[in-house]
Amino acid sequence: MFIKEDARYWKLEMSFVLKREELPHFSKHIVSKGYSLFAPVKKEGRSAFKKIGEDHVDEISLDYIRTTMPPLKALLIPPKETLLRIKDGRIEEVLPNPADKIAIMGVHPCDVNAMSLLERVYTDRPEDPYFKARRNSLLIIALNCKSADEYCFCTSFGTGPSLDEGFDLLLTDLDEGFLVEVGSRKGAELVGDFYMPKALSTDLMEKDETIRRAKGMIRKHVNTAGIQRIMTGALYNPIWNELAGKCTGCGACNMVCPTCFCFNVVDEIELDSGSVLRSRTWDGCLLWEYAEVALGGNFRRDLSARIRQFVNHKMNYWLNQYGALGCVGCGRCIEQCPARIDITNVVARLRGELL
Amino acid sequence: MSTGFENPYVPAFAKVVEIKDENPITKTFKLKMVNGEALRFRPGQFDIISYFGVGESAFSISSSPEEKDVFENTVRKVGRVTTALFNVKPGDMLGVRGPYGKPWPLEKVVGNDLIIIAGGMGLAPLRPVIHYIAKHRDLYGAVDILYGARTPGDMIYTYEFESWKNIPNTRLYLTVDYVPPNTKWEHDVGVVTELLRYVKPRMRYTSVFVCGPEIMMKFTAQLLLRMGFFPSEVFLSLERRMKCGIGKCGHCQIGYKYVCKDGPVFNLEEIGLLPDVIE
Repeated sequence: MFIKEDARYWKLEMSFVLKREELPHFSKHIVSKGYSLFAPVKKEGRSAFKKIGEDHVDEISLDYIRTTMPPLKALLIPPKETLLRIKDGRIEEVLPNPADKIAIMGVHPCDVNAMSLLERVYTDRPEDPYFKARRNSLLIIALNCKSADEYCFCTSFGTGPSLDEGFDLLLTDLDEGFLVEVGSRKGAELVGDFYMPKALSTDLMEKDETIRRAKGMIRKHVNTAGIQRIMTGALYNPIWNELAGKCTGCGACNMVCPTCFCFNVVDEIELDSGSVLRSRTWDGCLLWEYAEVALGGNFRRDLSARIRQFVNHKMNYWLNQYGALGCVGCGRCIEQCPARIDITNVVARLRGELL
Repeated sequence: MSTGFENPYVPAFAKVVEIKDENPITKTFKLKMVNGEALRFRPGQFDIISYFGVGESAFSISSSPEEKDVFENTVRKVGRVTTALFNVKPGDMLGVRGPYGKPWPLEKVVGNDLIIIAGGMGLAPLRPVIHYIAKHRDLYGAVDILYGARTPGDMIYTYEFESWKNIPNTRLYLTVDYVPPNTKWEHDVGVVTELLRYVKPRMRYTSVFVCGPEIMMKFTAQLLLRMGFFPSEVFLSLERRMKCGIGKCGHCQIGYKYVCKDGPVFNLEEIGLLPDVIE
């Protein structure tokens, strides 16, 4: 058993400070260790994760709030991924090469927690070998949030703005640089031969203060107390019809959601080789075809049923299926919705907290 | 590349050994695994058939579970994959994954009377049940099979009806919605639920297995409940879009249930409060 003072001591022992100007060198160090490095860069006024070559480490910009694409989902279950190649009566598994090491730097706590949720789905038996292979070769350098915007609501689920587990390294943006905390052996190996001064207890205090400030910027909230009973009780609430009048059924919420895991499977003929490629592509429950069956049957023909599925899956069914709510409060579905539908408002209205 | 553990998305090859025409738009494919292994399934389970280059579809396994080295899938030509399957000839190879899903609770209902209600293609997942009962006749009480289709020509497995009637203490009632001119038909005309009037069920000792179009199951379930059957003793086999069969692709979810792994067979108690289903 640790006593509290011990824990504090070990935390300090495994915490370092990376000077701001050292970030490119550290990034190069990661690449030199054989990792493909993904990190956020500024692109047309937005931040997006990009594979960073050794010569482009200067482009990395860790000052961002939210990317449009959920980075870990896009890495672990790519939007389109070939599963099998079939030729001449032989089936070849197109699995990721386990030797391909991937490092992702700068993922925020909500996205790391969303990945843990995806893990519950994809490693539930039978395991998905494609997800599993990528997950095993992935190194996560998470980044605590120092700010939040009007769409963030991670505090409702305890999925941000700071992270306690699920990372190999964890960064916090401090005044003079980044606090680097070690969360795994892989992470320890990475900092082992890159010189960084040990953190001081004042650095940890500054970290706490940074997170406290970020928390203070979060305005949106979902009250999750007894939420399952409320959602189930509202399955036939007229709100679903009302929302169907605004929703365009575009499925953007599904695509940008870091916990939406549904996929479609398609066969294509590869023209030059004549092989059949069986691939999976992201799918979403807001799309009309999602629940379509033979002879034009569709079990969620009405948009109202599809919106109800989306909201209930996150805020209700996930709990039965995987033991946790399926939302991390990243705010992407709200930010990207062309009809300005806000899942936090939907829940608040069903709770009678918002009229 | 080997993963060290089985890739659940990789189908095994099966050879088409025989194709039976059930009616102009329905065929039954008899398949044999190429690796020589049996597809060990229980009545009510389904498999996923690949026509490489077109795609995969889920089908009820419709043959007798006692038949070890071959199995059957009955396919109606309704979409891309099924249309492709209609071009298949004996000797051709298909991909097969499975079996998947929760079967009919044949062990749980031992000793009970059984009512089997099927509509159209819904007879496919129930045919293994009938074969199982024929083989283990002393395990169950009275058996009534009620089968309805749109027209006499839409019925499947008609060549087995005589042998089903000859199973001891078993009755087969047939009905169609419509008899086209110049068609011989000496059975009922009307919806399948009307056949229930021939059955004198001992409520407490009777289990009901139902499969058919969702709307047919809806009315059947409502009527059965009104007749006094226990919701826990009425079992339905549901159809949903499926892409994986292993609870990953998400398509077959009804509420918090996955039809592919929690079903496809559910009792009415389980279905009771779920949305997007018989309401």
